[in-house]
Amino acid sequence: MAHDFRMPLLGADMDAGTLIEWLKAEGDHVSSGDIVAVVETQKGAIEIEIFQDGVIDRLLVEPGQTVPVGTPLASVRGPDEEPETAVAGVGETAAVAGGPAGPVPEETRQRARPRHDVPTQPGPAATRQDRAAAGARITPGARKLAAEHGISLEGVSGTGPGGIIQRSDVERLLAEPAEASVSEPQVIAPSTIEPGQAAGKPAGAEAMRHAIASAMARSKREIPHYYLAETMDMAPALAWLEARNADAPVAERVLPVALLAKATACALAAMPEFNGTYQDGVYRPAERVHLGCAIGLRGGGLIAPGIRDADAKDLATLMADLSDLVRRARSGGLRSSELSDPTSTMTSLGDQGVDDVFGVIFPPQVAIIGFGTIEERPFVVDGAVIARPVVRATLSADHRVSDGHAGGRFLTRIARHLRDPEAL
Amino acid sequence: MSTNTESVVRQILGEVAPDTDPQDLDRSDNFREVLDIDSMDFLNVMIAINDRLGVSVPERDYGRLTSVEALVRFIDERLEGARAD
Repeated sequence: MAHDFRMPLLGADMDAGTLIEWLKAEGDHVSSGDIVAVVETQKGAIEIEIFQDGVIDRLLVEPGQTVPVGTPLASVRGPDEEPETAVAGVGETAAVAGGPAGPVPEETRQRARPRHDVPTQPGPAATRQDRAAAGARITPGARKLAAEHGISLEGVSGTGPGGIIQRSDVERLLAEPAEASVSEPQVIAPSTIEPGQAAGKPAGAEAMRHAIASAMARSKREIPHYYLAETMDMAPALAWLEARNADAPVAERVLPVALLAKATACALAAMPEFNGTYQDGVYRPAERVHLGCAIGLRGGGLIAPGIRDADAKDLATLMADLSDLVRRARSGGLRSSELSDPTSTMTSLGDQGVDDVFGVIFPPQVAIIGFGTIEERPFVVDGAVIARPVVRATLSADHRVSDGHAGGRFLTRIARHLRDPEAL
Repeated sequence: MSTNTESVVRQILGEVAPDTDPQDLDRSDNFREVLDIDSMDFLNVMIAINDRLGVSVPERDYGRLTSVEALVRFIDERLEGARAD
């Protein structure tokens, strides 16, 4: 039975998304977890995964079209099913030259398509051939940067894995003297244009600010927050990290924030009232811990993609995952599952020098754990006041799901983990 | 102060803070503050310095390497030391 692959919900406040590019063609086999398309949302360009095995039957939406969440994007048949009677894809309704198939004007539709000259899809075989001939694969971050500057990536060779054109390749192109590389007028991606917005304004940042505003406003409207804080001894953790990092190559050094994340994830695994979703009056504790990490974007904006199974990963893997998430959050290439999966979130403002950060819960989650700066404070050990590195940890939690007593035990659990970093 | 080390350092800073112009940065500026670089970014700077200049900066020295000047001098001293061996 063919199941439709639908526009996913990538954030509590998302209404619609714009398809930027199909990464699979009609007739392609897909496995659960495969990335099949790139979609532009208020949070930027996101790679969308499919969660079933099968074969893509028909692509129902064209690159450049903006559709509401839940709209079927493609029909997918099971791996053993017969194909439907051959119907050409979406291209049937549009001339090869690219007549508009929706409300999006032609130039902007072409802008939204990747720059490798694939015509409006006239049929599965032609699409696959064209893709093979064109060859060039482009990361979302590279595509976005090229689009912002109105440059063509045609004929560009990529230096990324498998020859993919990545952001640094585009940056290099931009640094070179322009050689007829501006082939189209600079147009901002269609999904981020708001009526009345001045051309040339960073539309993406505006859209993101709007998304954050609506999610945070909703959170404060709907979630009765309570707040707890605890000062945690970081001396054992920092000493352990220092020793570990001294013996490791530079690229394998672990930052304190990774240790904080691991300790938090382990506490979440043990106390399910802080790890799950609350929707329609029902709390559903999650079976696994996918820890959202609030990442500030340069120039403003916030996104909180998740590290899957954060409690089960070893510290080195967690650090690598976190570093990778930060890089992709800032340059493009986050995946849909990373945005929709998190079961709880952590925010760390340690680098800014703040003592405490009381976060706002990201609905439909029920808790957010905050960490301030790790620094030396007066601390009592064995009856004497000494200088000790400590961190202020906070919990903002949903009072419909948990009470302060549990919250206190939760924070204490994190503190205990941090005092025994070896066991983490 | 070697100009090659300095230009590599400025280039690395530009990669970590792509919305800024590290050529604008004064040698004595606190680059972490001016470029709004956090601990993750700083680690990436250290990794890049190790990759491109072959110098590994110990964690205990992070705290005093807050300006381009201090960072370049530190790297050059290490490079001198390596050449002398």
